[in-house]
Amino acid sequence: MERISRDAIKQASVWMARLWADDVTEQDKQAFQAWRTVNTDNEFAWQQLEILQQKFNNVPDPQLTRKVLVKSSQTVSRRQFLLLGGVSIGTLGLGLSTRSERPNGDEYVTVTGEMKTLTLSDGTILAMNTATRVYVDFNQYERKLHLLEGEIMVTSSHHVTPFYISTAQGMVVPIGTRFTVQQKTDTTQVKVYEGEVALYPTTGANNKHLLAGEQAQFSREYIAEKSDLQANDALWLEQKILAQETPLTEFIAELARYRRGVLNVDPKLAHLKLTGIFSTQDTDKTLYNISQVLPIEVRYRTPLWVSIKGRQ
Amino acid sequence: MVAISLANMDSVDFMYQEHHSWLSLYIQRRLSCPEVTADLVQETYLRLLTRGQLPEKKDSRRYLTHIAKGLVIDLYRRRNIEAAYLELLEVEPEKVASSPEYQAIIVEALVEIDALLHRLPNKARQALLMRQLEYMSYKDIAAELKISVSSVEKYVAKALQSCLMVALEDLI
Repeated sequence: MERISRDAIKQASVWMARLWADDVTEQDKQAFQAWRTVNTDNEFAWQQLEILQQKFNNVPDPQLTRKVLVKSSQTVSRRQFLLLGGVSIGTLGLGLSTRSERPNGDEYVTVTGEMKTLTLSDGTILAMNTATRVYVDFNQYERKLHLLEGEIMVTSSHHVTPFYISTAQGMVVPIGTRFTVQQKTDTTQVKVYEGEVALYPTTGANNKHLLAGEQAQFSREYIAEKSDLQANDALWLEQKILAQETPLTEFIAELARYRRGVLNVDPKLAHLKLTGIFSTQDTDKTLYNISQVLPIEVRYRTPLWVSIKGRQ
Repeated sequence: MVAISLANMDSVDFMYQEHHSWLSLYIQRRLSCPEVTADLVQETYLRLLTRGQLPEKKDSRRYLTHIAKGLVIDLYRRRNIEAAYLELLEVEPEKVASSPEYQAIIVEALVEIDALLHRLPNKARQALLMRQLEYMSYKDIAAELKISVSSVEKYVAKALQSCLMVALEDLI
């Protein structure tokens, strides 16, 4: 695997610190734009730095977070802590066995590029798309699915026990139905193919119902306008993706979900559009096929690091 | 390294059988808590699966040790954060979160951020947190840390670089 340039990482960090400065100038900003576009390493490092920002932006209580993190680094050294061993664990009921990132229930995982279908104990059919992690927590009072990463399709069976799906942004409650839920970076996307589904953002005051043929995304606070579905079934079930006048950049972002490593596309190619049905099983072949219909070049720096550029 | 797929799940299974007992001992010696040990052994294999790469047979032991060691350190770091959080709650009771679930969410977020910061010297860590979490101006940060404004910019740049190195560990 080719290395990401440490220089680019260092320069990107210096640039971000400059752009945050109280005395940042117009010249600084222009020089930064020039640096950013001069090569793919720079662009990649910058994008990664922006992704990093999201982690900080997502903390629940910024002021408290800062205090605790400063304190925890100053309190006891690792060595002292090893001697203390196990004193604090369990005091809050936050020990390893009850960590919040591991919800109750059984965990099911698919790796990148894998797809699988399960039938759950109540007869519900659960299809898992690429790179997905879901916990199935059923008991006599309720049936819960916790979607941590990726995308699922649920074909729910008729059952008296309440059924719902939770994501980082809120809850999705089906009303006898067939639909998909995808955990995206900051939002949850829901597409309904049959029946009806209710969306409940965690902190939002409103909820919204989606009917068959409709889709919508929601954050913790808001539900975006719903829109019509393009296809009448989720094509990923057949390991395919649909493009209908889809911008190339958007299409590649979708294809990248099914591929390990880095798949970059030059933002200048956003004007190129693509229509057709493409396989996600062999993404190299799909990339080759696209390069035959669009004026682009697919460059393999390594099998895990692929860049798409305009053809010279 | 070989990618893990359904085809070689047998090898993963075999690896589990072969290394399970010494790995338990290895972790146990560092933790002295049997329940947590069992959790960490499971977690070690889970990490292996989610990384999606199977080491060569001769490297299995070293690879598993590496993952397990990281998990043990993570656990200590987590305990450290929980302790700091608890102490803070004692001083500022109005911050007491409404439910254990919410507290767990906070600790989780803290652990995640802390993992990015752990290699940083104190001033760089503080400067970054002030800017990143509370959007303080460099001037205000300089005043609070009693350093010059230009040092703040240098510390912030250094801190960002270090965080990104940690975040991209697998790719560098």
